[in-house]
Amino acid sequence: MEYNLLFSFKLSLFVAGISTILVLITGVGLAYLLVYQRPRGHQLLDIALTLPLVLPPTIIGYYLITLLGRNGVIGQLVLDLTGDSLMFTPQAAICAAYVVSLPLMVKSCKSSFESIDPHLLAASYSLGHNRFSTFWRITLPLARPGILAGVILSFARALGEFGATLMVAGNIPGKTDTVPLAIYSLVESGQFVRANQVVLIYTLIAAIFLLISNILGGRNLRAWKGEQR
Amino acid sequence: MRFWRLLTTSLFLLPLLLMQSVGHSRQSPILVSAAISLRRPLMEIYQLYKQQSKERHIQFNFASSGALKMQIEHGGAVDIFAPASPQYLDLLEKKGLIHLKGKRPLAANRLLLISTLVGDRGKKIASMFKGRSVQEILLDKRVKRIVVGDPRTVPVGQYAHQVFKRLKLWPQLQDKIVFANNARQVVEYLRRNEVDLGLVYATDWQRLLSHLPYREISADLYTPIEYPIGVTARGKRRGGVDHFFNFLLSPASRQIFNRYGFADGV
Repeated sequence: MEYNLLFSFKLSLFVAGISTILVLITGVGLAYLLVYQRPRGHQLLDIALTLPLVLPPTIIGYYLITLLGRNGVIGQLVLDLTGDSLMFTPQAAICAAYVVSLPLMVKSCKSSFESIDPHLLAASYSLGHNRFSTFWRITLPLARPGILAGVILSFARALGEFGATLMVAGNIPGKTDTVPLAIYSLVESGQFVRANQVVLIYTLIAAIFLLISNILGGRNLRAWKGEQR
Repeated sequence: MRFWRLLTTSLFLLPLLLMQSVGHSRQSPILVSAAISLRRPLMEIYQLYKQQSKERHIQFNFASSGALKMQIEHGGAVDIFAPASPQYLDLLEKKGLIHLKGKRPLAANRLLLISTLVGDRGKKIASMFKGRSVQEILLDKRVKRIVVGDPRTVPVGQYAHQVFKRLKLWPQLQDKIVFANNARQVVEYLRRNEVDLGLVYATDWQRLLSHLPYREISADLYTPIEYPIGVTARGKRRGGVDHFFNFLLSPASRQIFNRYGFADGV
């Protein structure tokens, strides 16, 4: 009764799933921007995107609460648009997961874009393909392994997110208590046996996801190598 | 392209499958932000409240008092605030974010001296505990390490600091003292036998360390350990808030707090 752990598992997968979709779309875009477009201030953008990787979670939580809170830029906007505060909602947990996992996606996409032979892209342009078509047919397929790695890492990071989530989404039983937060509550209230059970199941789930993605990735890599030949 | 189709469909499908079970209700419930150490008694009190009252839209938010305070400062929609120490409530009150403070604390706690020296050596220590003052126990030569919370940041460490200062033992014990970063870590060091003595809350002893012998620290050696409670400025006019607030301070909930080792908050 006290803990709805099934809910926590569902919520964690939901939050990590949505966050990973957002990270996939924006991360690929941002990496493309940083590698090929190089707008003015791209160095700064790169640093800003990497910071969540090195900052302690409490600091990320502080930044997020400043942005998403009622008085924050984003928080106020959401409040005006929807009439509902973003804080203490599963959506806030998605924001936290998104911010901490985006750097992983951007980094791994960037390095795979950088490793693509520019001659291939030049050939594509010379054969009359425009930017979008080249991106869709040449760059993206060639960057496949890197993007997949980014997706796996982002999803795993989102599943484990704790500090920033606690700050912006709160630890509300049955509403925003993801598995890491439920484990925190269990340990804090001395229910070690339950905590250990949840830890084991969560580790197993994470391992299964990694296994699936490794199999997918391996198959993908073999297919990719086959195409090369 | 088969890979992409597989990846994107699975990524989109998974959240959609989970979406319906997560979707949140439209009514905005009463939100009680409480120190994580109060979780178990508060959940039990809530069960009791649900049986007696029609009001069911109450939610809890459990974290460390510092994080909870920061959420309220940034406009978090909290109606009732129950931190682990009065300072958090007072700081928010100064900012005009607290509408009403409870006339008495929600709960109170006591400080205990715990020893991990059990088993062979334990017999000696048990006899050492018996009939000897806290001062004598602390200065015993067999005691090599004493864990307390870091007095700069951890409330349980601040109370321990007061005790050592009033006993005039702080300088003498410096070499033996190990600082922990939070109350849980103090407990963890004791649970894992990393230290010989430690100062913890009575509630922590009851929940997590009840297999170890303890000695009560005299209450005049430290300021009262109290868990205050208040209604926030937001909770001021909201229906049902006052009713639950009063229930939390009622004898029925005090009884539940006592069962979890909290002393009477009078």
